[in-house]
Amino acid sequence: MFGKLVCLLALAAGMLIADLPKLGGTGRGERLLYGALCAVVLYLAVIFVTDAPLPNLDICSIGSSDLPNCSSGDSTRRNPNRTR
Amino acid sequence: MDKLERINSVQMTMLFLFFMTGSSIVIIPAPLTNVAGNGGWIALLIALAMGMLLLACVLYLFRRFPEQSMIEYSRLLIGRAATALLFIPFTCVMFWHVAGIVIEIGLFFKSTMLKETPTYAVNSLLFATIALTVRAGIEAIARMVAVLLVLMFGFIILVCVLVGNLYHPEYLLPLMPEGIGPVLNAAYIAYGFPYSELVAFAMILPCVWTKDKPSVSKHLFLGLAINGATLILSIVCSIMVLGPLSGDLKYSLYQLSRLIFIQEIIERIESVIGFSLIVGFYFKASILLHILMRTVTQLLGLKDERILVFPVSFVCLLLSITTYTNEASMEELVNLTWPLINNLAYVGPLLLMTGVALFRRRMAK
Repeated sequence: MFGKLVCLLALAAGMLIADLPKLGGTGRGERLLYGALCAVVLYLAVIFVTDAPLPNLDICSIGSSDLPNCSSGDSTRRNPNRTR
Repeated sequence: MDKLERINSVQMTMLFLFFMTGSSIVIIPAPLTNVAGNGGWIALLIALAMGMLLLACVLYLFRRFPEQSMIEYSRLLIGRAATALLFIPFTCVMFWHVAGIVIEIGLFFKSTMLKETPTYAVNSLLFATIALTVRAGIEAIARMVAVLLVLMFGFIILVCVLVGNLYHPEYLLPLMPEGIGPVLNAAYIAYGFPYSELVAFAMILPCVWTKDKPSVSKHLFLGLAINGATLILSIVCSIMVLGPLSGDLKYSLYQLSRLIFIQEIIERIESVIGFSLIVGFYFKASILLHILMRTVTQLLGLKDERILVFPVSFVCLLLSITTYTNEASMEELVNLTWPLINNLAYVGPLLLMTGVALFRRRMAK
């Protein structure tokens, strides 16, 4: 978990150091989309660091019932055994 | 990456060749021979023919709208609202697509060369490189492509030549031991990956210099033919060397390179070849990320796409390390679901626009 956190923080710091000075000079649409993408990054980062079985592209959640891997409906795939 | 960035027709063809061959040369021979046995190369020919049809549609629209990307001519043909409706799934699938390629790189490293290295470390470094490449723009990518294309294709041919002493041409027969069914099934897999993906390339075709535009069609068809020949070569070579095992061993070309042994002078060169094959993955991911950036900015009417490269790459990176980390589920996705998703998100809009363009042309006459 520590390794994952360090990796994520290093990447996030690099991204923000590169982009923040330029972000002020861009349009409103760009800033809004940048914020939205950062929110998605935060959500996926939580899934990555905590291994939480939250909805993702391979685990779709509809109401209270999870539909792991929408394509096959195989219930054993929920929060698949992460190989790392 | 601004509107002034232009490349010539040959550079575009080399990008196209990398886009089509980059990851498929490593991945596609094994599933095809697994499903269709010795008929794997016939399945690839069927898929290639379908790819040619799709490329014909892409190029027809390119000839009609040479200065406009797919989103721009879609707005002209079917209106803004319908374009938004068609291209939101297109964009979402592209996020997944970029992530999927890097998942494959991670799995390749994990099962071959870097077994103890965490996949997130491999994927992070790759995405950092890919993001920096895309930020440099399509001109920089096109300038890099020639050397690395020669390197990748050179190593593919080198592997096929150096394992020549292990060829058993008799393994190629019987051609279709279980009939045409498995061959059609394998053709469906190869159609989904990589041939239906070529539709996304329509987003960057307007980057070609105006004077070069007439030769684009000829060059891209030549590129697709070279891609088909290379994939068939790798399938045939892996069947001739590995025989019935070729369907069970993943990354056929890499497996072939492990068998190279010439007079105790040339042996254990698979790592060198493995890294040269990774170049293909890297370029495919870079080109796709560039296409994704262009799609996002054109769909939302934004002016500056450079500023969004890092967050978009970060999202794709996190998708690559949180989804389909299980190798079996990734394989199932590529073989079963991916062709369907591609048909709905990529091929569907293309066919609709081609139909509307043809209809309007006929009505205008």
